[in-house]
Formats: sequence, structure tokens, C-alpha cells
Amino acid sequence: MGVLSDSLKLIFSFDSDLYEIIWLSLRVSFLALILSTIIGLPIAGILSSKSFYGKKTIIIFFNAMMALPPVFVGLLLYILFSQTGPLGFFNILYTPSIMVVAQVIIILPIIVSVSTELLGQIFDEYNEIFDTFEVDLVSRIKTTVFDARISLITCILTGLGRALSEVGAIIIVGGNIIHYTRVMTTTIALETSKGNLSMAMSLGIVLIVISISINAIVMVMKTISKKYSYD
Amino acid sequence: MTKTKDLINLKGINYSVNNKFFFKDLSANISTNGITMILGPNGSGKSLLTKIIKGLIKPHNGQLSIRLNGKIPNTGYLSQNITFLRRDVFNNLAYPMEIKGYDKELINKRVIFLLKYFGFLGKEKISARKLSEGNKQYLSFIRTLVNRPNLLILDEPSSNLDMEFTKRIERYLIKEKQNLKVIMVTHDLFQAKRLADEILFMNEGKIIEISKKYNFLQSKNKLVQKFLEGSLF
Repeated sequence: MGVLSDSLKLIFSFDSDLYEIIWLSLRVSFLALILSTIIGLPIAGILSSKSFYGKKTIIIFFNAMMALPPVFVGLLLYILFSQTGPLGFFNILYTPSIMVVAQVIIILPIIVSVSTELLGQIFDEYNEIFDTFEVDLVSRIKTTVFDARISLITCILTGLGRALSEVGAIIIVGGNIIHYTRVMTTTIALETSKGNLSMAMSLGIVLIVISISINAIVMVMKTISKKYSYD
Repeated sequence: MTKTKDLINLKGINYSVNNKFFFKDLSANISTNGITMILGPNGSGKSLLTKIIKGLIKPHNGQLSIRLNGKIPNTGYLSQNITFLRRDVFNNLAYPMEIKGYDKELINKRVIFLLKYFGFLGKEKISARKLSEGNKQYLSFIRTLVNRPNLLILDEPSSNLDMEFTKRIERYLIKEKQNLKVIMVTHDLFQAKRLADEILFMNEGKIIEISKKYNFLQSKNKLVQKFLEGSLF
């Protein structure tokens, strides 16, 4: 009980170290989510709307990438971006930037795969409307994405949950540097190993609250979309 | 510059799927005026023919030439398979104009005019996908008119409609046929008699007869006679 009350005290005393960590976690994850969405939705739009050579291979690739262990993503990025690596000149190892890159690599396959499936179903259904009214490819993608917007937001929020709970990759590429690259999950791992359970627990509670909030938003959006659905 | 002659001409059309020929060397010269009704039993290729004329399906060989008023026509097409966007009635009707880049005011005017004309005003905020099957088909017909086509291809537009809606569609077609070429598939011989200027009769992927309504109804062709008598093939 002592750990729990200490951790709650830490949260409600608005401990600056704690909130700095939470803020960095949210910044990195949201930025990764925005980038993944900007990159992923057009890819999903093209994959779901156009037939071309190699399309199935790309879909298989993104599906397979969903199961990629984050630790391995971290290792790959470490090799690529270390001083002796081919991308070492970017000089972003152990910075929040590479943590964003790592999270994009982890979230992007989720956004692409789930969105492709979702948009593909709607696109197949709308195909005759598009052909009949001679709609160009860009407008086809826009229409499909617009009509699937609520379901797509749900899928994107799933990506956010994955980003926030990620630890394996960012601990390798971020280095868990205090006041710089230390985020919630890496702090939990570190503080637990040090025996500072109240700090670890307080971040765990915050993570759970965020996770519940995301799921609640998803649930509310699903309910709203059902109520106001044109389907 | 000489004006290109108006024509709706199919020449040597071949279409097959997995080596099964649906059309083999199909040719026809369809009138460029009035209403042409396509009749024939199920599986005779009526819908496939309309899809080829619209350009939704490309034949493997053959030539399709369509000119109305010397130009490639603006074609409205109504499929048997009715689909609507996940939007309300108004926005489903607005869509064909939106994607052509018309301005909002013009779109509003046109959509409201059509809703009024066809007695559908008051339903514009309802989800098009939640309408009854009859209303969906009726709305789908209205949607084909949004972009002011001068060639209208209709695949059984009134198969799910009651008398009132069917009457409204038929009245519209009769009223507009001076400015609008209509090619329409139907199973309803009475409807064909009411509307047709020309009848195209198909059986097993072949055009058995294409002639003016009066000539068709007097046809000496055995298959046509059987069809007109209502006997089963």
C-alpha cells in the first residue's frame, strides 16, 4: 500500500521530473503518430485503390512488419545511426528525434495494414460509383478516406497506444538519458531495477490512465459513429 | 470543318471470360434519338451490353463508336447494383458535381431542383444507405441526372419501384427524350411498349432483332414472337 500511496503523492504533488518524463513521452509518441499517419494513409489509400505489380508483396511486408520486435528495430537503428554506421552523419542517436523514428517504424505498419484493409472494403464497394462518374484516383482516395474517417481515427488511436507503451526500441536508441530522452516506459524499467518502486508505479498509473482514456475515446467515437452513421 | 455524324455503333464486339464467350462478333447500330429499350431473357447479355456502351467493361475486340451532337456524349448510367456513399441523400446527389469541380451554389441549386422535381424534398438529410430498396433505386435514378447527361443508360431502373415512382420516371423520360437519348434495359414488356421508340432484343449473347417498336411488335422472328406471347424459351 505504501508504494501505491507514495506514487499517488508523486502524481498529485506535480513532481517536475515526473511530468517532464510524461510530457516527453507524449511529445515523442504524438509526433510519431502524426508522421506515421501522414506517411501511412496515402500508402494505404494507394494500396487499397490501385492494382499494380508488387502490391501483394508490399501488403505482406507491412503485415509482417507489425510483428517486428521493437528491440530489433532499436538494434537496426542503432547500427544505422551510430557514429560508424551508414547514417551516422545525421548525428541523432541518443536524441528524441531517433526515438520518433523508432516509433514511426513500429506504428507505421499498423496504420498501413489496418487502414488498407478498412479502405479496401469501402473502396471495393464504391468502385462502381467511381467508374460510373469517372472519378480520378486522387478523388477516389479522398472520398474513401473521408467516408472511413471515424474508423480510421480508431485505427490511428490504436497506433498511439502502441507508441506510448513501447520500450524496447527507444531504450536502445534514446539511451534513457535523464532530462533528455527519458520517457515513461524506460523510466519504469530503470526505476524498478533501482528499487524506486513509487516512481515506477506512478508512471505506470499515468500510462494506465492514458491507455484507458484512449480506449474510452475509441469507444465514444464508435458509439457516436454508430449513432450518426450514414451506413 | 464537317460535323461528325451522330451514331451509337457497335462493331464486331467480342467479350469472353475464361474462354467462355459472352459476346462473339456482336454488332448493332442503335438509334441516336428517342428511347431504345433492351429486352431479353435473363443471361442474354443486356446488362453487359449497357456496361460496354458506358465503357465500364472493355471488350476484347471490336469497335464502339458513340457520338451525339457531334461529340462524345455526357453519359448517365444507372446500374442494377445500387450503391451509395456513406452520406445523406443531399450529399450523394451532390457528389457527381463536386468531383467535376462545380461550385457549391450551382450544386445546391441543381440538387434542390431535382429533389423538388422528383418529389424527394424533405428527405435530403436522411442517410441514403438507410432508405428502402425502392427509394434507393429512385434516388439512384435521380443521381444519374445530376450532371445533365445527354445519353442515359438505365439498367432496369424500375424493377423495385411502385407504380407512382415508375410513372414519375417514365413521365420524365418521355418529356426529355427530345434532348436525351435513353438506352434502357427492362423485363417489363408493357413498359417497353409504353416507352420504346426502338427495341433491341437479345438472347444468349446475340442481338436477335433491333427495330422500331411497331416493327418489333410485328416481328416474324420466332424467338421474338415467343417472347411477345410470353411463352417460356
